[in-house]
Amino acid sequence: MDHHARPVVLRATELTRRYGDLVAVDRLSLEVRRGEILGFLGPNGAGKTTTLTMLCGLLRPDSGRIDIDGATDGAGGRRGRPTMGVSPQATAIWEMLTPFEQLAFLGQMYDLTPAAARARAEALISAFGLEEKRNRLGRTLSGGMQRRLNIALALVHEPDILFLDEPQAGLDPQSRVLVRDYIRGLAGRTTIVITTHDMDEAERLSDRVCIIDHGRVLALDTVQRIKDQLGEGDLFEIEVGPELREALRPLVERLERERRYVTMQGSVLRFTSEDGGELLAEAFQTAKRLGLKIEHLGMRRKTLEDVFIRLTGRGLRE
Amino acid sequence: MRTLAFLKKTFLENVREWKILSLTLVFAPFFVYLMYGYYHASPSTYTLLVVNRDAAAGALGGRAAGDLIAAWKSATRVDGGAFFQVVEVPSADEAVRRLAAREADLAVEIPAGFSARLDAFASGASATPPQITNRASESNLRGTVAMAYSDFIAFQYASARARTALPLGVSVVPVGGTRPLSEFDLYVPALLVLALIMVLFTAAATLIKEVDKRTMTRLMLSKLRTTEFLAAVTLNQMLIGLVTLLLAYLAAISVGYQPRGSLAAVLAVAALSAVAVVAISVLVAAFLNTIFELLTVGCFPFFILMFFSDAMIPLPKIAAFHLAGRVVNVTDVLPTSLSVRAFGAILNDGAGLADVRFELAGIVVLTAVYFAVGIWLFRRRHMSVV
Repeated sequence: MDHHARPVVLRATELTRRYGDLVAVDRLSLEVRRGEILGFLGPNGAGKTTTLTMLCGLLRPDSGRIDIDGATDGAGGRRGRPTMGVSPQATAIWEMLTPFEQLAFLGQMYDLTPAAARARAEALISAFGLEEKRNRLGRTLSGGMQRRLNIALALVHEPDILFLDEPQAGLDPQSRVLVRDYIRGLAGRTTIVITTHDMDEAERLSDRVCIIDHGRVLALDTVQRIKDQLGEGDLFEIEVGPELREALRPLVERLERERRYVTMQGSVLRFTSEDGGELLAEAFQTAKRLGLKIEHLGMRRKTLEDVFIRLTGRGLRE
Repeated sequence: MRTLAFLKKTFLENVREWKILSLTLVFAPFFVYLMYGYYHASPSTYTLLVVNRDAAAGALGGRAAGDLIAAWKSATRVDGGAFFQVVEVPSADEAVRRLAAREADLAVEIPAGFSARLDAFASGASATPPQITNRASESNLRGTVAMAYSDFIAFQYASARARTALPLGVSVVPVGGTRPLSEFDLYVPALLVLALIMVLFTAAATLIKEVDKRTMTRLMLSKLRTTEFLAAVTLNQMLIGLVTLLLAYLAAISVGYQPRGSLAAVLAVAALSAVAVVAISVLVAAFLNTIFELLTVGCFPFFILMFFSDAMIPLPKIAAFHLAGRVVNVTDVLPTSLSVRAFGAILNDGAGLADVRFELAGIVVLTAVYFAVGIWLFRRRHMSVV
C-alpha cells in the first residue's frame, strides 16, 4: 500500500519540551501512518528519547499537541495507551522473575487471560531466542538477553503502536539481526517509532526517517528521498593535504555554484556526482601539476550520515 | 484478575528475596526470645539488699530489724509469690556495688539501735522515730517500684509495733486479672507490633523497586490501576505481617507467655495494623527513589514507629486532647501506638474486640488518612506524567 494512502495514527504538532534553559524538543511536528516504521535518527542528546517519551504519553510537552488515532491528547495524557508498547532505552525488567513469568505477568496486566498470556509469553520467548533462559531469573541474564527481553516485554500485548528507544543498543550482532528481522516482520501490521543513532539500522528498518538535532526536525521523508537531497549519483571522497585542499577550492566553488552536494570536512572533500570520473581526473591533474599527493580516494553509496553532515556540518557520532 | 496476577508476582518476588523475607520474619521472634532472656527471671520479684546494723545492739538488739526483715520476706503478690527476694549484705559499700551492677533493685540500711529507738518511740520515751536508709539506682525503674512497696511494708510494721495508726490507709486492688504480669508479659504486645512494623521495609521495597528498576513505566502503560496495584501490595504485605506476628506470638507462647485474650482478636487487630503500616509505607515510598534510599533514609520512619509506638521503650505519654471520654496522646497519630494498646488490652487484660473499639476505630481512621496522603503523593511522584 502506498505510504500516503495509509491513515495517520499519530500526529505531533509543534511539540516543545524544555529542561531548565535547555530546549530538548523545539516545535517538533510529524505524522506517523498506520503500519509504517518511522526511524528517529540523531546524535546523542538530539531529543529523540524526549520526543518518544512524549509521544507515548509518559512526558508532558510544555506546548504542542499529540493526536493518537484522531483523539487529541494535547497535554501529554495517555489516552489510547493500551494499544501502545514501549521498549525504553534503559532496560526495564523484573529481576526476580524469569522471562516467562515476566511476559505472562505483563500480558495479564493488559487483560490477556492467564492462558493467552502464557501462550503469548511462549511465542515471544521463542521469537527472541530466550528458550534456554526461559526459567532463569531476570537478574541472571546477560546484558544482551536482558535487552531482548526488554523489547519482548513491549510486544506482549501486540500493540498497535510500538515505541522502541535504541532497541539495538547493547545487542551482539546475532541479536541485532534477530531483533531487526522481528521488527521488520511487524511492518504493515504495527506502527513502529524507533529511535537510533545508528544510520545503518535506521536505513534497514525504516520506511521513513526523521532526522533531528537539537530537538528540531532536519529532514523527514523516505530514506531514498532524504539521500537524494545530496544530488544524483554516488558519493566521492578525496582525502588531501592542506596545500592541495587550497588548490582544489576553485573546483569546490564550481560544484557549489552548480548546486551539487559538496563539502570539505577536515582534510576530506566529499561530493556527489553522476560524472565523478571527470571531476576526479580534474583533481588528479591539479595534484600532479603541483606535485602533491592524494592521500585517499574513494567512491561509495550515499548514507544518511552524509545527509546529516550536510544538514548540521558534523557527524552523527560527534 | 490484574490484582491477583500482581499479588502472585509480588509474592514470588518476596519469596525469592529470601534474605530480606527471612530477616523480616525472624526479627520479632528474635526480640521475643531476647526480651525473655533479659526479663523472665525477674518478673515481679524485686531483689532487696538489707544491711542490718541493728543485730549487734545489746539485749534488744536486732529483734525489730529481724521482724522487719521477716515482714519483707513474707510480703506476697496476689498470686502468692514472694514480692521480695531479701539478701542480707555485710556493708553499705557491698550493697552499693551490687546496685551499680544491677544485681539488686533496692538496698535498705537498718541502723544500729533501730530496735531500741523504735521501742522508745512506741513507749513515748522518744519523740523521734528511728530512721532507715534506702539506696537505689535512679537508672533502674524497678528500684523505685521496690522502694514504694518496701517503704509501705516498713511503715505498716513500724506503726503496728508502735501501736500508732498510719495517717492514711491504703488498699491495693489488682486490675486486669489475678495473674501478675512480668515485665516480659508487658513487652509481648509491643513485640507483636514490632513484627508488623518490619512490614514497613518489605512494603516500601516492593513499591520502590518498581521505580528503581523502571518497571513502573511498564505498569503505568498497562491497564493496571493504582488501586489494583496497591491492593495487591497491601494483601501481600498483610500476609507477611500476619505470618511474622504469628511467629512472634508463638515464640512468646513457647517461653511460657499466657495470653488472656483470643488469638482471633489478636489476628483481627494485626490485620488492620498491617494495613496501617502498608499505608505508612506508601507515604514513605513516595519520598524515595531507590532501594538504597529506603535502606538509609527509610530507617528514620522505621525508628519513629518503633520508638514512638511504645514498641520498644515505653515513653511518657503527652495528652493531646480528649475524645469520647478517652485521652488521645500525641503519639497516637501513629496507628501502631494504638495497636500496642489494643494488643496489650487483649493479651494481658483479656479484652475482646469490643473493648478495643476505640483503638480499632483510630487505626481505621489513621490508615485512611495515611493511605489518602500516601497514594496522592506516590502517584504524583512516581506514577504521573511529568
